[in-house]
This record gives sequence, structure tokens and C-alpha cells, in this order.
Amino acid sequence: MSSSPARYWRELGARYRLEASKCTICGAVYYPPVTPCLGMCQACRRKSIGKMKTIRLPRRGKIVSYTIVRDMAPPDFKTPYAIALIDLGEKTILGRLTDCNLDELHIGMEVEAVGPRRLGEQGKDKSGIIKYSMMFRPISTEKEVEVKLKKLKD
Amino acid sequence: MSEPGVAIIGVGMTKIKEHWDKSIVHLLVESGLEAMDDASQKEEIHAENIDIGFLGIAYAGSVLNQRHIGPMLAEQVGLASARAYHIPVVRVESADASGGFAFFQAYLAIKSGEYKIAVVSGVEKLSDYQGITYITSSSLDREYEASLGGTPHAMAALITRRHMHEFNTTREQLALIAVKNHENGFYNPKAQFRKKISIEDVLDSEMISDPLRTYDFAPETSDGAATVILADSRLAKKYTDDPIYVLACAGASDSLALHNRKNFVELKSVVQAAKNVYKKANITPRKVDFVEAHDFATIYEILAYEDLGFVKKGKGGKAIEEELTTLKGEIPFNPSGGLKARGHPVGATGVAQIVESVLQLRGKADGRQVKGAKIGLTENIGGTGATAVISLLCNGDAL
Repeated sequence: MSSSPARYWRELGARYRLEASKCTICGAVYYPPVTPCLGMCQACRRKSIGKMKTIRLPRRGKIVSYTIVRDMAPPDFKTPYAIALIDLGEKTILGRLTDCNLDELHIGMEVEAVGPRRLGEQGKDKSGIIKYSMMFRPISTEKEVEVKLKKLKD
Repeated sequence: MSEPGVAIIGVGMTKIKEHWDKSIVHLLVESGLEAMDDASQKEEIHAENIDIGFLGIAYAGSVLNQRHIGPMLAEQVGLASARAYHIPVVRVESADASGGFAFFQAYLAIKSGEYKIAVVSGVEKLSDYQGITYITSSSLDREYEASLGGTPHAMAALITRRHMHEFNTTREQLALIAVKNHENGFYNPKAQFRKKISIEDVLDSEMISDPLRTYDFAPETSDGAATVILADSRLAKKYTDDPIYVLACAGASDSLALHNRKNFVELKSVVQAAKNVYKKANITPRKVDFVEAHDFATIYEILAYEDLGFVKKGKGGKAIEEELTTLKGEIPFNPSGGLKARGHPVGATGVAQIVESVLQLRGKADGRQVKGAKIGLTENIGGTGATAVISLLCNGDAL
């Protein structure tokens, strides 16, 4: 069973560029973006039709909560992997974490968007669409880099 | 209190387990016949007496690659054949809350005055599919949660970590929920797991989604069915001397994706539905004698303590530590063993909660009986709480 490429294609803006919609009346932000021409703000509803602006979410944020999936993952996911609720300032989204030491993850950790990175292939024989998504990695502060380098030298 | 308009006259339920030898139809017929027998205490009830059916199923469509299940089942029990007239059967899908929502619809059908007797069943057969997580993840936002690797277990873990962070809820407190529900399930002959466990068993079990482990979750594969027969209260006494009344029933929604909520440690759908039932029944949580809650993961029972109004937000962990919700506590939660020990045949769960509540209110729950129970509450949620449905039931003593 595989979905049509169109289903994947129409989500590219949100997946690859972190596109979102902002209501120009009340300022609320929606991710993924609302339908371009007929989309509405959930609070302003009909008044907001045609007044929703497409924006790009900030690429940096903080971890609000995270989990490391070690078992009971869907069949085509290799464990372990980590997902997190990430506060990007204007909006909190669910993101996949990458390039990180799973033991060092913590609430409040600063992360930045990277990618789009490969999520996996559709279908059991992996002959379907190759899926990509923006992922998030920890931002190392200068101090942390210094400590790590020192450890390596030692 | 005046007599509510809707009564439950019969209940039935299969044992919850991996029923390798039985099909979905088999399970439904089994629970249905038990409910019909149960509703025939004074006068025998026949298929001809039933006006409408509701069927709660979440994943059977995907698991069995079979939709249009309403008529398939109606046919088997003679509700769509020559002798009975061809009654409508409505299939209801709201993920884990399918059964609760099917009950809600049956309640409305009677309450409206359009129908006199309705049957509501819930069923699921998860053991017929390998790698069920892909299918159960469809209770989440497929594009922005499941596609990134979000699973029902992982999303519960995200809520758990946040709750631990904000309120200092401990790993041990979470484990105590599973220990308590296994303790209760031990006395339920229809429970999937009838085994008492210790805190150590929970903390030593395999990590599923950090910080939650195997014993924090309802079993992955539960098969089973549950059936409830509802009737107009004026008709109920014809069939039983002991009708159980539906005081109120309400549903509510929240955003499908967890990240679209402002608050990750409160299920607004539960708060809203609870507010509605308390208002409709004109009671406070203090009047409730026991709760059948949706403990798909241990954290969800802790959230239920708070969101149903039994303790303040953030005090859920303390409540289990102080044994507030054990069978002998102030407000027993999940006397049946809950999803954790009774099992979680998804579409059947909401109906199974009603079945347990009816047994409790009749005083027929044997070793797990809540003493003197007069009012019971059921809480059934879908996904991470994007859907909630809550019912308040009572027996004649409460009126």
C-alpha cells in the first residue's frame, strides 16, 4: 500500500522549508500552513480568509520535551531515534532529532534545523517515494566545543 | 434526582486476550448473546425488540482490510435478516474512543425519543496483524507526527517527561499506576492479565519510549468485544429489576497533533467533557464513587485524576502515592484493571468500561467490588486526547 506522490509533494513547503501560516489579524501561527487561498485562522475564522500570510519558522529553538524511541516503532523505522517538541518561538512543532548524543538530550536544550534529511523510503521493498524532512540537532556552545576538544586531546 | 431517560438493561463481554481461534464476528456474537441473556432477567428480549445498532471499531478496517462492518455483523446476529426487520447499524470510529463514542450515539438515539431500544458493541482484533504500530499510529497526525516516527507510545512519553519536569512527578509514582491496575485486574476473570506485579517489575521492564517502559502501557495486542443494551427508562423495568441509568454523556475534541496545543500536560478535551457531564447531571466530582479511566499509558491515568477534577493539576503523582485511587481508596480508579490489565481491544475499550461500571453499580463485581458504589464515571480518549468521551452512570440508590 502506498500513497500517491501528490500527498507527499503538497507538504514539501512545511517539511523542507518549515513554512507556516500567520494570521495577519491576530498573529496566530499554524504549522503546517493552512490551505493557501481558502485557509482560515482557527480563532478569526471567516474574517481571516485571504489574510493568512505564509512565513518561515525560525530555524533555532529549544526542546520542550523529548523521547527516545527504543521499541514499538513502525516497521520502517530503525531504533533508537529521538523526537521532540521544539519551541521555535512563534510555534512549537514536533521534530526528529539527528546528529546528537541521545544521553545528552535535555529539556531546554538549544537545537537548530538541519536538512532536509532522509526520513526513509515508502513501501516494504523500499521502491516508493523517498521521504525527507527537516530535522533538528543540538547547537554546541563555544564552551561545549572547547570541553569536547579538550576531551579528545586527552 | 428524577429518573434519567436512558437505562442500561444488559451487558456482555468476551474475555480479553489474543483470540487466535476466533474471528471478529465470532467475538461480537459472543458478547452480544451474553448481553441479550443479561437483558432477559424478567422477560426475554429478542432481536425483533432492537431498533438500532451502533458499532465502535477503530482499526478493523485496516487490520482485516474489511470495511462496511455494520451490515456484516447485523446479518450474523439476525438483525438484517428475514425474521427481524432490517435495522440500521452505524459504525463509529474515533480511534481509541470508538467504543465510547458508539455508546454516546446510542444514548442520543434513545434520549431523542426516536428509538426505544438500542444495542451498542465495540470490537477489535489486533492479533490478526503483525506490526500493529503502523496502524495504531493512525490515531495521531499521520503527516506531522507518525511520519516522523511518532507513535502512541512516544507521544505519551513526551507528555510524561513534561509532567515530570513541571510537577516533579516521579518514575515510581507512574509505576504505581500499573501496579494498582494489575492488582485490580487479578480479580477480574475477563482481564487479559491476571497477575500481580511490583514496582520493580515495572522499572525493570523493557524501555519502549524513554521514560516509559513495557509495563507502563496497555498490551499491544488485545482481542475482544463488549456489548451494552440501552432502553428508554420507561421500558427498562419490563426486562430488569435493576436498570442502571445514564446520568449524562458528553464528548469533546482537541487538536489532533499534540504540538498544536498550548499545554502539553492537560487534556482539554477531557476537562471540557467532564465539565459538561458534571453540569448535565448537576453533581460535583465528590459524588462519584469510582472511575474507569483510559490508562493507555500510566501518565494518562495521572492526567485523568487532575483533568476530571479529583485533584489539582500537578498533584496526580501524589494521589497514587497516597493510595487515593486504590480499590479501598477515596476514589477507586480502574477497578476492572483498566486498559493496562484488562486489556485494550481498541474499539471495544469504551464499551468494556461501561460493562465494568454496570457490574460495579449492580454490586456484582466480586473481588474487585467498590463498596456501596452508586455513581460511576467512564473516561475514554482517542489518540493523545484529541477526542474524549465521558459518561456518568448510576444505580437506583442514587436517585
